[in-house]
Amino acid sequence: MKKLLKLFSVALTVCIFALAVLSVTGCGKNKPSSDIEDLYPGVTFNEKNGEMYKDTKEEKTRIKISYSTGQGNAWIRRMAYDFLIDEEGADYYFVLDGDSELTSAVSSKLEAGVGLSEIYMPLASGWNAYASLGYLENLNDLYSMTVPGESVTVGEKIRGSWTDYGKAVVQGSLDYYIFPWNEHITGIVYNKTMFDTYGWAIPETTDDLLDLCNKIVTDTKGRIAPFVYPGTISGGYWDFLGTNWWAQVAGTERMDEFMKFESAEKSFSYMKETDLSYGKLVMLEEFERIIVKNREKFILKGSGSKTHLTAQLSFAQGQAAMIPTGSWVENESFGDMEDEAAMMPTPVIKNETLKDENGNYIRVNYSGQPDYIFIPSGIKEEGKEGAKKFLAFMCKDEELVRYTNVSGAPRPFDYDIGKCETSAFIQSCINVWKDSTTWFEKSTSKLWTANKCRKFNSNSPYTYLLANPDTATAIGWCANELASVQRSWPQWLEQVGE
Amino acid sequence: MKKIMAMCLAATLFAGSAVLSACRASVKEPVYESTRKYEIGMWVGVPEFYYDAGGNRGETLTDEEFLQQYRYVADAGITIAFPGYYNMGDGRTSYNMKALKAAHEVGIKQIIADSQIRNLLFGAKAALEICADDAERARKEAEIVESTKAYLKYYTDSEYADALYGFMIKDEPGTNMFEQLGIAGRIFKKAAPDLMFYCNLFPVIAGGAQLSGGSGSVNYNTYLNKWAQTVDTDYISYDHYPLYSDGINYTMEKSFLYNMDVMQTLVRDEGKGRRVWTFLQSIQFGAKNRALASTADASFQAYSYFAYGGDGIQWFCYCCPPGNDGATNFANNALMNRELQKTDTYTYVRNANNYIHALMPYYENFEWQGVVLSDVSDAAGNFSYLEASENLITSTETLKKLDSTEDAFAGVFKDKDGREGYMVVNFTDPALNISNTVNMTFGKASNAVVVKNGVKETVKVKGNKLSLELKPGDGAFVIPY
Repeated sequence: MKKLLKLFSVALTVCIFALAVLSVTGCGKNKPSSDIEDLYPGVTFNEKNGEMYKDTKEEKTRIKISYSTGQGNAWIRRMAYDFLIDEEGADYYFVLDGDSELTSAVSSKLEAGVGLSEIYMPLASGWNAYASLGYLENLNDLYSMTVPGESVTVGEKIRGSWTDYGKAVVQGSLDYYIFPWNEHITGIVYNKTMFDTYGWAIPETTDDLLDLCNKIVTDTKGRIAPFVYPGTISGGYWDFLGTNWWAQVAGTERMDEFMKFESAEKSFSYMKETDLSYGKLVMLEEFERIIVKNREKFILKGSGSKTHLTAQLSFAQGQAAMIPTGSWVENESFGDMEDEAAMMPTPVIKNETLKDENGNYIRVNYSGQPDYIFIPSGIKEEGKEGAKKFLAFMCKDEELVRYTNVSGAPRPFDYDIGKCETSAFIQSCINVWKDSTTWFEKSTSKLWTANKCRKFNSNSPYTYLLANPDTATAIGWCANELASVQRSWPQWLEQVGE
Repeated sequence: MKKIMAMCLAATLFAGSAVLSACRASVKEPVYESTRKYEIGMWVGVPEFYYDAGGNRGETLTDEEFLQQYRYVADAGITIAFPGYYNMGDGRTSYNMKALKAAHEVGIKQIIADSQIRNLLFGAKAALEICADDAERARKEAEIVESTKAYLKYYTDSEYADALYGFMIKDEPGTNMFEQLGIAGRIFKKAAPDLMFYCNLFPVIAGGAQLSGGSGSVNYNTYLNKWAQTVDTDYISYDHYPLYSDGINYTMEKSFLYNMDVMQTLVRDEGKGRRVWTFLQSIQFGAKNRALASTADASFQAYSYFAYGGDGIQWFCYCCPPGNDGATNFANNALMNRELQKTDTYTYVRNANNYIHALMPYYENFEWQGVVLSDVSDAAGNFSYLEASENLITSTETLKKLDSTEDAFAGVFKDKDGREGYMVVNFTDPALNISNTVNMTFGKASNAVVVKNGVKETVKVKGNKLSLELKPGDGAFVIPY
């Protein structure tokens, strides 16, 4: 009996100890870690549920931000923190909700209309329908708000295509419904350490790029592929190279002219230099000459089944020397990369007519369709007001600089990008951005907003040319596209009510 | 005295045995029967010729090869075959008859496409619009019905007509086509009341311009309501795919359940008893929809849909489309690859289909009532979409509580006598390999029929509580008694 009692008391002691340990660790689970406290002194931040507040959240208005996580989390935490410790943010607290699937999920979230956040930050996607369905808050007053502590309005600080990209016609009135987020920089990212080791020069022209690819194969005896690309994505990111070339040949004004989609023939004819799709043909012929014809030796085997992350991982692991991608890649995939990477200016197509009046080649940064911000219409007024205040606060000079420092992305606002202290990789991207004109596709044509007519129609030319190297040609693809668009045009017009 | 004691003992024994037999009668296991199979279709059926990733045509399948492919379709548990990739718009009579013959021989049904019939039906709206008055319109419509019958006769009079299930009409139409489809559907129904006028609708994640077909924007509820008001079919089908990966991370589509919820609300409010079909994912496509990696990936989708009271599933895809269809990239890992060999996906989907068919004797005898959620973390985000759902049930007459160690939910069903049954699902991404203990607390039950992954067993319910151990992708149909 004594033995039993002893055993029981030992078991009881073990249980009590275990409970004590569990209760301590259990309680500690939701507490902010000391690292987080160091990063955001003076506020409480719960990394698990995304809540951030100064002193208390009682009787304060919530600003819940649902954001795509491609740029990581640090930038939004920093912006929220800065707002809370400023007097502007005295009446608010944040819930920061990072969501990798936000871009595809946001339409059904708006449709469901329950549990809406105050601010959404999705990646590039069609937003016009959200505006016309009445899901988005009118942002005219945000564009005309004075930036806190500055003498200009928010709208006056916005630059480039974004000055009017955020407008949509809703119930007969043209107003702002979305707000600029990131401006991306795209092109060829290369393994700088590898380039330095082998003494490979950055190619100036597409001829140089072809020579470089051959040199990479020779110097590494085929161990390192010149390129890896994400083949599971339609177009395989080659458009970050291709449209840069197309815009270089056409110039941004003619690209905008193309995007008006006034007629099938006007936008999609390609044979003459004056045709709006002539640049597309030239670009595809360069792609065919350099990449398609040399695909066996220039492209890493297995690229066709890679996602953007696995392709970027292959690049980061040194399996390929270059990858077509954008400035976001460092945040997304370079965490464990030992080598140094950089973005090169897109090699230009050598042609005297493609130079500006100073004899320099025209350089364009194709940013891809832009990431954007909106406030849903179906939330409380005080939430809308807080969201607008915060978005205006993010436009302060020092916040824009800080944003670029932390996220690695520029925003399309007037601010001194030179003040940014970024990684060497981001600096290389910014150098490309500074020396070029940024362009992205935008159009007010109903054929475009209704998703009928696109930059490329019928299929992705890059994927098509790579999948049919022996039978397909660039000129054949352009001919097929023109014929296909001509066939569909009357039906498209009818479908959009024109 | 001894006599009296013996009499008392006998009386006690008699009374005891009467009570015992009464108890036995009250816990008698309910018996359900049905020979019907669940409706399981697919997208991209058996082709008439081989083709590669670039869509380049290769050798034509011999008749024996074609038939062998249909045996594989039937063995996979699929009950309705769809046309091959290059025959979805128009099978022409040669392919269509070949497909019907093969379906007939392996004992399944077949949906075919015929552009002549479709063109006739699509032209009906314009033909009726130019009629001078109602009388002329009625005459014209009767004429088109007869023409449709004449076209259909080739198939309906054939020796393989028993395999014919319906005709492919339109995938993902915008609202701008609904009126045309409504008239076409009405005429088709008059001409062939027993055949399916097959259309498939957009998912909730489609954009407003897609939903409208280009003329402005409409929201999803408007889209569905307009369909219900305009097109009189006895079913409604849509496609929505839940399993994502960027190659490194795994996530689920957040509105997977929400779309089911919206559909069930629509058919319930409408009250016409339309069946609800959906597509489930069985190929890697686009930038993020991933390949199936286990039976759990397939059964998770099917069980979830079961729990939401669905009537039919279709696997997207059975065979592989070319590597790029003009908008989307497709991998070579549907149930059959482009060489028309079985893949691992074939095994996963076949297993899931068999689990589903095994549920039919029970499922067929119950009617869906709604769902009970056990929201532990809502890691997938699906439950948050259902906050305002009219289909949420917190507890029932029999089921007092559902809780679990991970996210789970149960569809609630009732049989004709009011007995409840529950389709319980481990609602965690199968790729994350999360097991789940689900506890059900009943008002009163001593036993339960539990049908899990094709196996039926009777289990004791202790203290009115039943605990289910659900592995990734597991679901169980539970009938307490």
